[in-house]
Amino acid sequence: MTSRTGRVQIDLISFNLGGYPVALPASQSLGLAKRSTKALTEAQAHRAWLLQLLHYQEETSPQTRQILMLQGTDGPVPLEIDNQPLLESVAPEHLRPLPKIMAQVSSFKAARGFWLTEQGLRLLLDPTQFPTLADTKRASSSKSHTNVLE
Amino acid sequence: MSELDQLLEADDWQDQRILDVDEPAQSLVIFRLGEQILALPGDQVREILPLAEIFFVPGCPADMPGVINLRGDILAIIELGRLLSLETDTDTWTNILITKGSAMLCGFLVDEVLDLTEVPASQLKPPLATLPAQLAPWVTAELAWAEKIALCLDAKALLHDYRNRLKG
Repeated sequence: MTSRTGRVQIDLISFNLGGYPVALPASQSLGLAKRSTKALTEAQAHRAWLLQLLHYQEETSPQTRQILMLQGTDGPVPLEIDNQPLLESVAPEHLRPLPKIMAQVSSFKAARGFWLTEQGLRLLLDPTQFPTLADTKRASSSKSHTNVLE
Repeated sequence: MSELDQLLEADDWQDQRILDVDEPAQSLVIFRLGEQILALPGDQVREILPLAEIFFVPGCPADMPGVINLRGDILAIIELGRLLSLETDTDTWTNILITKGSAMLCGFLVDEVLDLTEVPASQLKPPLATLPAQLAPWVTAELAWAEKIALCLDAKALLHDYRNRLKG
C-alpha cells in the first residue's frame, strides 16, 4: 500500500492475547466472526495454544473477547483475542525482523518480527504457520521445554 | 660511583619503569554473576546498559528470554549465567552487556558491572587447571582483582559454540 505522501506502508491488525501485544498483516485477516459453537471451539483452542507458548495463565473472569478469522494455509483460522482489533498503516522503518539466531532456533515459526510502536514492541505473527486444531490439542497435552520467565 | 652517577642511574631506572608500563595492555569489563567475578575483553563489549525491559519471545531456548529494543535495533538477550551453568538468581540482573561475536550482536544479562579497567598483559595469568569444567572452554585467563580472582571469558568463542549448539 502507498500512502498519500507516496511512501510505501503496510496495513497491520493489532490485538492482544492474554495481554501480550501482537499484530499481523491486514491481508491475512478475514475480519471478526460470530461466536458460533464450532468457531468458538477452534478459536479457543488456538488461543490456548498461543497462551501456553506465552506461559500466560488464563484469567477466569469473563471478558468481552472477539473471534478474529485469520487466513491460514488451508483456509480460515479462528482465533479468540482479548479485544477489538485495530487497523493501522505502518511504515517499513517501524518493522524489524527477528534476530537471525532467534529465527534459526525458535520453535515458534509463526513469529516473523516486530513492530516498533510508541508503547513498545508488538510481535508480528504469520497465521499460515499456526498449527491445525489437532496439533493444538496435542501440544496442550505435552509440556513445553522452551523459555520460561521464572 | 659518584653521587651524580647514582642520580643519573636512578633516572635510567625511572625510564625503565616507564618502558614497563608501556607493555601491551588489555582493557576489561569486569562484572559479577552470583558469586563469580568474570571479565570480558573491552573490544568484545560494545555497550553497557542498565537492565531494560525484555520483550518475551515465545519458542526460544530457555537461556534466551527475549529481545530488547536498542535505539531501533532488536537484539536477542541471553542469560549468561545459565549459558555458563552458574548458579545465579534470575531477578538480580542490573546490567546488559552488548556483545558481538560469531556474527551476532546480543546482550548478556549480568548481575552487576564492577569495573572498566586496563591491565598490563603480564597481569593476566593462565587459568588454573582446577577451573570448573563448565567454564574451562571459555576462560582465557585469570586476573587478581580486588583481592578476588576474575575469570576472563572469550565472548566470541562462547557465542560461536552457543550458535553451533542451537543449530545442531
